[in-house]
Order: sequence, then structure tokens, then C-alpha cells
Amino acid sequence: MNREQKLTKDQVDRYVVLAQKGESSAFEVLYDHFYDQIFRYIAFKTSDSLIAEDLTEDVFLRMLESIKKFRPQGHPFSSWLFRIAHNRVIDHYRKRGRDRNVPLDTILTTVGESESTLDNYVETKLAMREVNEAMKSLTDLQREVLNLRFAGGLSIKETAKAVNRNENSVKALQHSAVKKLRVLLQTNQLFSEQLA
Amino acid sequence: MKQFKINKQLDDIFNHCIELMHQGHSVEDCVKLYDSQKIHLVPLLKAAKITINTAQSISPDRNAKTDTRHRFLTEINQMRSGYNITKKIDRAWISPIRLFTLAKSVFATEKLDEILNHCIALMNDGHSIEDCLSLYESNRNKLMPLLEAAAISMSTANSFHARDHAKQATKSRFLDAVNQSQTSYKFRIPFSRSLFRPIALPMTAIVFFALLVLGVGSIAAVYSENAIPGDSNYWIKRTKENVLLAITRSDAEIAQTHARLASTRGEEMLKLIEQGRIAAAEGHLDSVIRHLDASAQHSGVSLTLNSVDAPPTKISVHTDEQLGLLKVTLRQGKEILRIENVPLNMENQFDATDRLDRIRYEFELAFRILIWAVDNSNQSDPFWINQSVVTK
Repeated sequence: MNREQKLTKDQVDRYVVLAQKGESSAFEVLYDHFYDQIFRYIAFKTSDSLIAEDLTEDVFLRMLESIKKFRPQGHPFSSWLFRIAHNRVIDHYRKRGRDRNVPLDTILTTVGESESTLDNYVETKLAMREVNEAMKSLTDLQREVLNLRFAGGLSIKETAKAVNRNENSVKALQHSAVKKLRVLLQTNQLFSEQLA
Repeated sequence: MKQFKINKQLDDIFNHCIELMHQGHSVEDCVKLYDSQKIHLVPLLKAAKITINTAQSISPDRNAKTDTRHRFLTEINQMRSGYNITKKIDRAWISPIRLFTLAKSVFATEKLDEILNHCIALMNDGHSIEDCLSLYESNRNKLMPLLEAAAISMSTANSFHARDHAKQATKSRFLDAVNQSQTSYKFRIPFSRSLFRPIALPMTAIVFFALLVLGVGSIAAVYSENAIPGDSNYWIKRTKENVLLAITRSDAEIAQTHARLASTRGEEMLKLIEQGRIAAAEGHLDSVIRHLDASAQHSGVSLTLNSVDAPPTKISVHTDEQLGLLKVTLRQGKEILRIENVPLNMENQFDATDRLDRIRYEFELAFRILIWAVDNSNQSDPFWINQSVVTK
């Protein structure tokens, strides 16, 4: 399958069934389809690409271990997978509970190979830091909804299933979160021109 | 306006068009949006338009309307006498436009949720803020600031990219794990169906279990010797260690076993680092420190790894000989991370080197503090590591 090609929900469901039967090519397709989404979701949460790479791998290994237990029954596979990712990030922070006082500059690491010039690198890094700071002012649920929608690219329905809320409340959470984020970012010098 | 490339089902498209028509857009506006579905869409929308027009042309009987209005206002006055909505309704009733505006204001928040959500979905598909604003022109002022804030967050989220080689390496390990699980899966099925007859099942199960305990157990234990976190047989290695700890009796032996296990965790950390799994290695450092803590406790040493809180204090109740053995074990272990050049399988050497240094530093520091604490001579300084061994 072309790596860039996106699967429809029905196709994902079919590959999940094949994977549950032990079809290794189905795992490969699911990996290609979900890797970037899961990676961005974790990276946006942790602000660290290296950690995100590790944790993304763990998410897929856990998916492999428990895919046979997955029962669709109106629950999208993507929501289930992102739930694993969410739990994996929580585990990670729990393990690192004894905060080793790593400075923020060290935590905010790579921004990817596509950012080639130093200016871009620094600018993106600053933007990440500021957005990350602003996100901290949101409630856990608001933050999770934005993570799933913006970084994970999940639909409202999938997000609703992942956070165990109905679709209307996810829409309302998304609205209030964006509104609050706007106010916070507007006061920031980095974005004030953009948001003027 | 830009052509939308959304691969929606016809009923979704139809619903969207109805929503647009309710907002005052024409059939043609919608057909422009979904040009590829034009043939199916036009007849449906025309029919819908007729239905909408018909529905809107129906007006209630004037008397009935007045009576209902009177009853309605009386009810409201009784329920909430102080609330001024009655005045609003009173005024709105005169004009359908005002009534519509009132109703719209009541549901405005919910409506904006919907619109914002639609716009975010479009932006996720690569459309611009302006594309969306032109769709919802009447909400432009409220919508624009929200979409700008959303665009910043989205672009920040999208600025993270996994490194290609890391992605490929992860994929290859993942597919290896898939193939390993496949092997065990394929083994189980024919075995259970062809060899086990119902009558022979209990006897075979007993024999199989005995073989499993005697043979496979020991083979698996050996096979898992080099396993690292993430390997399918890693749990066997950890189980074996737990069994070993459970059958060890004397405090001195337990302390030594924990010290050895701390070294084993260190070796595993090195392998994780070689694979470029720095975060996993950092997480594994916790296990090292847990083993060292346990080792200290069983050797009768009160230990803190935080030099600011309190200095390590020796309150040993053991003989010097036992502590000497422990010290030898610890010294063997601390050599593990003193390898000068751990091969780094990653491009971003700068960040990785910083983090590796921190892992090495904490690992060595933990070992050295414990060695110092069990040592009889309190003259040495455990923090001399600062001056020497942190490798670059």
C-alpha cells in the first residue's frame, strides 16, 4: 500500500479483522496508517520527539499484544489505539514521577528533519514552547480533545469515543478550549501580530 | 471558492447542503462545493428546496396564533414573573425576523460549536481559514479569532515529525514482533486440532505440563538471558530474577543479588541506547535505582541519592566481610556504563548526547554513593565523579 494513502474507516475495520486473524501484512498497513497520527499526538503531549518515537513504538507493541481483545461494537479502532497511547504517556510520566528537574530547553527537543534552517528551528521551538504553556491552562479534558483533534487528526465521533463523552460535549469542549487558547495566545508577543 | 475534496457519503453531503440552504445559500452554491456529485445532488436539492419553500409558506391561523401567544405569555409570567424574556417574546412575536433572531441567539453557542468543528475538519483536510469563513460569512467575526487560534495549535502539532530512519527502525522491530507472535500462533492451532483427541487430552496435558516445567522452562530461561524491554521473552527473564530473589534468604545475599540485578539493568540500558531508545533507557534507570535502594536496605545502609537532603549514612549491622563482597559486586556493576563510545543510532547527536550523559551520570552516581556508603573509610567523596568519569 502507498504509505501516504489514507484508509477509510471501513478499510481500517477490515484490516483490523485481518490483523486479529494474524495477518502480518494487515499489521503493516495499520502501522503505516496510524504511525504519524500517534507520533504527533504523543509529541504534542510530551513536547519531545525522541520520547514520542519510543512511546509510539510501545503503543504499537501493546496494540499487537491486545488486538485480539479489541471488540468494535460501535467503538472505532482509532479511539481504542489512541486510548493506548494516552495510557502509555501517563505511564511514562508516572515512571518519571521523581522529576529530575530537566530544564524545559532540554525537554523541547527535535522539531524534525523538515526544519532545515536555524531561524525556522528556533521559531518553531519557541512557538511550541508557548503553545505548550498555553495548553497547560486548559482543563485536562479540553487539552485531550485538542490533542486528539489537532495532533491525532481524529474525527469528533472518534474523539468522543476516546474520551468517553458524547459528540456534542466534545464539540463544546473543543469550542471552549480554542476560545481560551485564543485569549492566552493573543497576550503572547510571539503571536500577537498573527492574532491582531 | 476552492473545490472541496471531501470524500463524504451522499447523505452527509446532502445534509451539509440543507444546512447551507437554511443559512441562505443557494442550490448552486452547494453544487459548486461538491461538483463531483452534481448529477446525484441537483435533483435531490431541487426537491429539498421545493419542500423548504413549501414548509416556510405555511402560516398559522391568525386567531389561533393570538390565542396561543396569550396562553404562552401567561404561562411564562406565572413561572418567572421577574424575567424579561416575555418582553422580548412579546416584541419578537410581532416580527418573524425578530423571532428568528431570538431563537438564533438561544442556540447560537451550539451552532458555533458545529461551525467551528466543521471548519477544523476542513482545515485538517488542508483548506484555509478564508475558505471556511467564506462558507460561514455571517459568523465571520466570531469565527475568525477562533480559527486563528486553532490554526496556530494545529500548525504546532504538525511541526513534529518522526525521523524517517527511526520510523523505519520501529517498523522493522514491530514487524519482527508480529512475526514472532505469528510463529507461536501458528504452532498452537494444528497442535490442538490434530493431536489432542478428547480421550487423551487429560493425560497429554499432564505430560505436556511436566515437560513444560522441566524442559521448556529452563530453555526459555536461557533463551531470555539477553532479552531487553520490549522483547516478547523479557518477562521470563524478570520472572526468573524474582524467583531468585524469593529463594534467597540472607540479607547479605539479597543485597548482592540486588546489586547484580542493578548491573543487569545497566546492561539492558546500554542495549536500549544502542537501539536509539533513549526514553526507554531513561525509564529503565528507575529500575537500577530501585535495585540499589533495595541493596542498600538489605546491607543495613541508610541511603539517599539526593546529596542536598542528607548525606549517606552507614548504619551497618553486618560484618565487614559481607559488605566487602557487596562492594566488589557493586564495583563490577559500575563498570557497565563506563564505555566511552556507546554507538548512537540516531542523527540528532546533540540532544541525544546530553541525555545519555545524564543517564550515565545518574547511573554512576547511584553506584558510587552506595559503594561509598558501604565502604568503611568515610574519607572518600562520592561526588568526585563530577571531576572525572562523565564520558562525552
